[in-house]
Amino acid sequence: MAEKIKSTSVELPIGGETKEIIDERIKKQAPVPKELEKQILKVDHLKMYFPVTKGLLARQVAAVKAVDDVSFSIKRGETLGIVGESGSGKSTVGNCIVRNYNITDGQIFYNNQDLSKLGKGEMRKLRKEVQMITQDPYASLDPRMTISDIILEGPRIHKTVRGKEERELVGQMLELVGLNRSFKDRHPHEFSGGQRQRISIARGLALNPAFIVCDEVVSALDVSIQAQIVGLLMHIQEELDITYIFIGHDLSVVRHISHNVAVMYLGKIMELTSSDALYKTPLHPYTQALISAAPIPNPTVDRGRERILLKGEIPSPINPPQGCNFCTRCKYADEQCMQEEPEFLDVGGGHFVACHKVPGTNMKGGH
Amino acid sequence: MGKYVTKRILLLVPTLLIVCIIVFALMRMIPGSAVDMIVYRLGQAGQQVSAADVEAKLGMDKPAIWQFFIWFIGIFRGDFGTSLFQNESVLSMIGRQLMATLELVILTLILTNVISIPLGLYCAARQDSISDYTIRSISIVLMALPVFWIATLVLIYPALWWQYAPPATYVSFFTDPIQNLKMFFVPSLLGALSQTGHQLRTVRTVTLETLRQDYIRTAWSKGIGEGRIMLRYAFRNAMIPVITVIGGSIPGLIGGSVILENMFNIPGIGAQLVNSLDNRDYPVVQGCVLIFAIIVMVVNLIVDISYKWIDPRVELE
Amino acid sequence: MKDLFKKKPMGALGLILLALFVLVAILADVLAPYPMVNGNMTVDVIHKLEPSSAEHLLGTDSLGRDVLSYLIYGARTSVILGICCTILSTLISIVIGVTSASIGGKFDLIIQRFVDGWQCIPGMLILIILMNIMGNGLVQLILAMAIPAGIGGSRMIRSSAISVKDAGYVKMSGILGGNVWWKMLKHIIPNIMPVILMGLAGSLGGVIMMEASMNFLGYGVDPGTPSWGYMITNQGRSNMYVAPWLALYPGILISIMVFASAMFGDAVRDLMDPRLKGGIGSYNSKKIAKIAARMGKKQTV
Repeated sequence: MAEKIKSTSVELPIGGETKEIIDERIKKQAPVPKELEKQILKVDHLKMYFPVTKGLLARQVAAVKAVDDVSFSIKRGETLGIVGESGSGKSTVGNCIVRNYNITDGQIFYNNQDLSKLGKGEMRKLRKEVQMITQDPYASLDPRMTISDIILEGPRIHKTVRGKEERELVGQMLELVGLNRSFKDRHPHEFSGGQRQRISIARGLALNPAFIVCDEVVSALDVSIQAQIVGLLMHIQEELDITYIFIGHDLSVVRHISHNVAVMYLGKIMELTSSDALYKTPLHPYTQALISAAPIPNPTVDRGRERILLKGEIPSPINPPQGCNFCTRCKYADEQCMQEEPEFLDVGGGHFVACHKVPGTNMKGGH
Repeated sequence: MGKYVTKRILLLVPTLLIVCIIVFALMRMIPGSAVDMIVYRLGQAGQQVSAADVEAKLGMDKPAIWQFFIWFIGIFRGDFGTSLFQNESVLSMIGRQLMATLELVILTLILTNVISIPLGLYCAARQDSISDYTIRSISIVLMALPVFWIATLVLIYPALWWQYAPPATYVSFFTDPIQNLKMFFVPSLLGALSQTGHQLRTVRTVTLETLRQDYIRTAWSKGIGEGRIMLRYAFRNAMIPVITVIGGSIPGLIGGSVILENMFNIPGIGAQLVNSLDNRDYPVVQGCVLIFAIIVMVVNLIVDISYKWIDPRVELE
Repeated sequence: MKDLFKKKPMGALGLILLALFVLVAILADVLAPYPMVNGNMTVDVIHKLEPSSAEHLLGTDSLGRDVLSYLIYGARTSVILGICCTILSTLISIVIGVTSASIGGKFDLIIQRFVDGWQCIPGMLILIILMNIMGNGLVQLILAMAIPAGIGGSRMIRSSAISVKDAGYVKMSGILGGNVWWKMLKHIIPNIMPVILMGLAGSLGGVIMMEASMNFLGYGVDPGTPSWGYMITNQGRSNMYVAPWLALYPGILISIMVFASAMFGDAVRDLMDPRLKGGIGSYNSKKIAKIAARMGKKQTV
């Protein structure tokens, strides 16, 4: 499959049978038009505003600008990581793509099909290809269902397997995520958090999707378990050629699994580039602060470096600043930053930044 | 607080509308019309009238929706319509009988609470003791006894043994309290029996839950005596759900009053309702049911408001 | 089930009693000394209102019917009524409550207002009016009792449905492609089963009581069908100077049945109440040992 092995050293028991089935599935995945073989998802100026209502009759008085003009594209088989603090809108982006909300504005192109324009029935059909795994392993599994039923829910809705095939599918999925096949008759409460996330992943994979949104899937787990799950996801990506959006707030984790990373703040993307470039040359002040906040395994280096501390408070998403969203906390902010919103521009080599102070955005000098 | 009260009162109006619609619709669904009754009766008295005439006179030839609106608007002016059979306004008819029913309900309430609350608290304090079990068993038995059955037995056996019969004529409380209570005591007690059983268990359960709370444990460890704990701390907090239960028991009590009034010759609204129903006297039945519904709504409102007043944690929405 | 007998002996007793009543109801024709012929009870005009005798263990009533047989057939009426009514009203509650909660929005609002209004009207009055509309009879009585009970119970079901419908797994079901009906059937209803069962178990007693009251007032089943409530009015009260015991027997039976169902309902409720599970009071050494064992065996993912 892929030459560059990105997964960690966790040994996953994938037997011979499963390998065949994996190949089978890859063949069965939805065909993609030749031109777009590369680009599987394109998000254009996505806006998601939630109305704030007041009074008995629920008049709208304001809007929470959860996602405010976000654009990006993802190539097939790659992972886009989205990082940001709570309230940055990253989870909302994931939910919008899966059509959990009706988006306020913008377009989402999946395989050149505009998701935002699809009716409920058509969207339902697309669910076989676009899936989501969520954060809470305790709430997302129905306590009254067996593992087998949980994994089979998707296939049963869409009638993709029948009768005896069901058992096989469950077995394959469990094996794929590294769980024992005998677990299929148990109930969720008998498992730990990490195991439940694996079950969630198995459920997501049961429909053989080409695209999965991973919304903070490891945030609720212990650090060591996080590593295992991330490794598992990367392994699956290699084997089944699935595209991910990986949403999280821990930059080190996101960066590990992602090919490209988008840094979000208050509903807008501040910086978007490859994960390597993000670490080597972070351009946006916010990214720099995030990186400096992440601990480095080497204690000497960690203690020796300079930490960037953000001053100020995060503004309200109902009433974002007039200029750059980050201006209230940025140490480089000036008049222009307060007044004018910076454009989201490519400053070279596919490295996008929204900041007035970065050379190449406007010629007013660097930092 | 005042804003909340006004808001709640305003919200009563749509509920009232719906209640009226339901009552009106139900009435109209009953087969056999009042008009036929009237024609029949008048015919028997020697007067020949046509159904159409009667209809026109009573305003019943207009479409149903129109009739409904006339009635509904009338309510706000205090005009509940006129009885089709008696030459009296519904309101005055109800007014006459209301006192009796209210007295029955209030007495029942008093008896219920006087018995159930102290006993319930006692049972909670002495959980799982012999007296606890005994009282609980008795209360369950009380709940299971049909009111009308006990009432029947009460009417039959004392009559057989002691030639006892309940007073047949109604005397208002203000005229002659003793005579009045003689009439009301037995039915109230009977009505209270089953409700006491139910409420006692609720009081006990709720108090037990309250007693498990941390702040009670703190009081214990501070050395505060049991009696004081019960009265000052547990009682107040436990009473909140109990108030709801009391409020919720009102519809049941009213229903029970229908039976009791029937059996003990109390001239209350329940008895009136059954009579008028047989006559298909729409306005009166509507009025009676409506009055009951209004009482229930008012009681609910009071319960809600006292909730907010007693428990500061509950948000004033 | 085993829990019932171990922890709640009273509840088990209630269940046994109820089962007995059901048995009697089913085997009425066999058990009754004077079984029904062509849907009518045998009438013996000569032996009217007689006290207990060798032929008639509990005596006869004013029409010469055997009291014991009448009571046995009365059990059948009560059981049929109780079961049908409880099931029907629970179904109505579920339909109203769950759809109202799941669909939400304006639909929910309107239904809720309607239920509110309905609740304000005292139940007995509604029953009387409904029986007037539909006339007397077993089926009518079942409907008349089930509909208000169903509407009243929908509140409880709706509030538990609401607490469930925003759960993570319901959302996931939508993401997997489930529509409103799928979510209702596969996720919401199974997860509110405890509440539903609690309601079921407890309401049987109330139904019996209501039925008896209705029959008492004369609005219940038609006079031909044996009924305990009817016997109290018709036979007991009317003949109170001659045969006062006629009022006694049916009342005792009603009380026992209501009592049994109350005990059973209570026991079910206690066993299923999540608050009482694992509370401070309910820990015992066996349970602690079990938990400790499970913790020891737990894998590290």
